[in-house]
Amino acid sequence: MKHDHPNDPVEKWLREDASQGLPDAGFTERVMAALPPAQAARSRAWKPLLILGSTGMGVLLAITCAPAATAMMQGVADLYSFRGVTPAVLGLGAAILAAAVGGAILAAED
Amino acid sequence: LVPKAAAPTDADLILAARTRQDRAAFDELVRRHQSQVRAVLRRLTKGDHGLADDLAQETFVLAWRRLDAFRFEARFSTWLYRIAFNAWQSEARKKKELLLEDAAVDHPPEIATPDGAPSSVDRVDLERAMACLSDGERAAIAACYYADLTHEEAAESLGIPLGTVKTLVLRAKAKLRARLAVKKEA
Repeated sequence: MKHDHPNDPVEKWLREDASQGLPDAGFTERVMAALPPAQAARSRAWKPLLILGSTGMGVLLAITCAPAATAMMQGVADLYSFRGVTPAVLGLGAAILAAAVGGAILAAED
Repeated sequence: LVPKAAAPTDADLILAARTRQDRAAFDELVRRHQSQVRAVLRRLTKGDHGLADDLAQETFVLAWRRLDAFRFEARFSTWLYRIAFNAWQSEARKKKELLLEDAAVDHPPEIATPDGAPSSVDRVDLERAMACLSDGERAAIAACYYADLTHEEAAESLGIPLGTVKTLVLRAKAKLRARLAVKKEA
């Protein structure tokens, strides 16, 4: 900071005291030993991507590989026209449930 | 002759530490800033070196965890002091109610200041004199002199009004002057 009274003895004492450095004396080593492992930080960053990615892949597979009668779009159409619980509606429900579980896991992680 | 490579700046080290989890870069940051952070905390903890070093360690560990939150808007050291002040305030609140804004802060200092202040004091005397200040006065002195913050930065870091910081600094200096002058006369 800028000192208002550079000739003030108290300011001089404080400046002198503050300018005396403290020897490290193993402090840095203790800090580095106390840091959480880097691996944990990295896996924490990857976790949301893994969960969302695998959920998305599952939904995509369900959409592309399901028999015609259980296709997702068919499920939406069945729901829209009030056809009751058809296989397609069940498939759609399962996909939504998978996405919701993925979201819940992420929320619990946070 | 091979020219010497320039030492990396704090910003280089911070980027390396947070993008690559580079522990060597963070190690260098700790080495650069440990002295001032520990000195500030020693003044805040009334010279309790063990507690000050524990809080300094906590400060650096928190800094490592929150490095992504550092926005390069302030100096890295200013950001570290903010974490250190918070760590000290949390610790102090565990023991008692911390009073940064003293009740009498609106009044100007009324401490007798003897003439002929000594030209030098030793570190132990200064440490003892600092321990007699109130929490707020000690925090203001630590922020403005040991952390080398401006009054505005100190106010922001400590979470108190600018006018209060200025008054606390004035009052603390008057108390230190009086106490150290008396000590020298004795």
